[in-house]
Amino acid sequence: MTTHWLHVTLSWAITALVFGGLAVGAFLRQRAAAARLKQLDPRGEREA
Amino acid sequence: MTSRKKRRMWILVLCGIGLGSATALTLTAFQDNLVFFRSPSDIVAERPTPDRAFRLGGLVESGSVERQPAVAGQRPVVHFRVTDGANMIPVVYQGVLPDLFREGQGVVTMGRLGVDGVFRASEVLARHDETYMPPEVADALKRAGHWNPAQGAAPDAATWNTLNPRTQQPTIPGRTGS
Amino acid sequence: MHRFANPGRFLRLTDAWMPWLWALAIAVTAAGAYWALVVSPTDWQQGETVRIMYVHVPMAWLAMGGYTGLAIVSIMSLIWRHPLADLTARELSPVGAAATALCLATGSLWGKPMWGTWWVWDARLTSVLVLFFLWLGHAALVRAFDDTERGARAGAILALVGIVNIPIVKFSVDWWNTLHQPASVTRLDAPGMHVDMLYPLLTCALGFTLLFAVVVLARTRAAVMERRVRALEMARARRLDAPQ
Repeated sequence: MTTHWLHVTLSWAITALVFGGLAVGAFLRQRAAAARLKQLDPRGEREA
Repeated sequence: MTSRKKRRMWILVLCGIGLGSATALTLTAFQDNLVFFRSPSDIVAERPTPDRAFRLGGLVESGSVERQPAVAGQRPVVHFRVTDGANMIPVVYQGVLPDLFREGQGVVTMGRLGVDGVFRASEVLARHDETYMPPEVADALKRAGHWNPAQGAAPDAATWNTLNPRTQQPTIPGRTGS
Repeated sequence: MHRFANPGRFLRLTDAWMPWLWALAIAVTAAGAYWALVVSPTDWQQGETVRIMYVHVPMAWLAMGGYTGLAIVSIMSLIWRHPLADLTARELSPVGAAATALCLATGSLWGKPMWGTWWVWDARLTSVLVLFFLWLGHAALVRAFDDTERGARAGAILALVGIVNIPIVKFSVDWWNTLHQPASVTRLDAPGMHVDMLYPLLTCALGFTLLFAVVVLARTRAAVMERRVRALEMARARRLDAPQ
């Protein structure tokens, strides 16, 4: 691999890792919070 | 809006004006220190002493690059001139040049100006201009005689940024024939 | 705006959008990545390295645009005291810091082969580093207080003080001479960039912006729900503690 492609690959790889990590983290956190909320308040009375 | 919210908003607006003007004043005061490099004309107007290291920036003059034959075990030596159109400074540099270095390219060099008027660079950085074009488009412009990269910046972007080099010839507005 | 200010209504309204937003963001980013890495041409001087532009430039736009967004929610937080604005600001700053860090890192990876250096202290690079520290400072400050409302207020003031840095980042390349080049895409009708590179760049920018927005939205939704979970847990604990 040339230096050109090495730097391109590194740039895209760190971007994919960071954004992928943020996306997966946010998705899982939201799902966990929703599940816990449902458990505590099954009828969603406190919505609104 | 209640009067409390209105008051908070006015406090924010006033703080913003104060902060903005303070920043503007500070930036104006530090104007000279924020300059990253000096042009050949700056150097001619106010010649720095040989013991002072500074950055010299400008374009690599067309036809000025001379690479000395490489000596085994030593880094290559290159001579060139940095110009801003009005003035030029000869530069000598020993070391590896960045990929973008070429005649007509912007460079920023760090070093000292000798008593002989030659700038001895310890570092040469290439400056990229704001144009991006595929090689075929650059070739078409060069073939049509509209642009010589060694002589300076690319022509107005509107003349080439939608050019399809396989089907079109570049045209330069205001110029007839070629 | 007031329609969204109620956290419960915010949750209900955004609930239906979320799967679509995720799908759209991922699809546009993937299309942009394919266009940028496979289809788009090389640059006549930079060769393949120009492909770093398609992540570097969107990250730079997100760093500045995201910070402007932070300043807007900070104004709403200070004037109207919207709890939702506080939560959004708190969840926005780590994502903004990540985008700014990526902008700096990809810029460094681009600068080494092209300019010949990883880093210089010119006005553009230095002001973006300051922007990164502002993001980090905000993220740390809002989490430093036991009283979340005081933390949110301190963070909002920091965000608004830091907004002076945004025009400095933007215009540094015009006001002072820098190693960094001036902007290529200033007006969409006359960019200093061939359309074969401009369109993949705009696609990548749209994709990363959608991804940024949906991540912040998901984090804010999670924060609203977590706050409600804490309230419910506390209410339950009080019920259990109370004498029968």
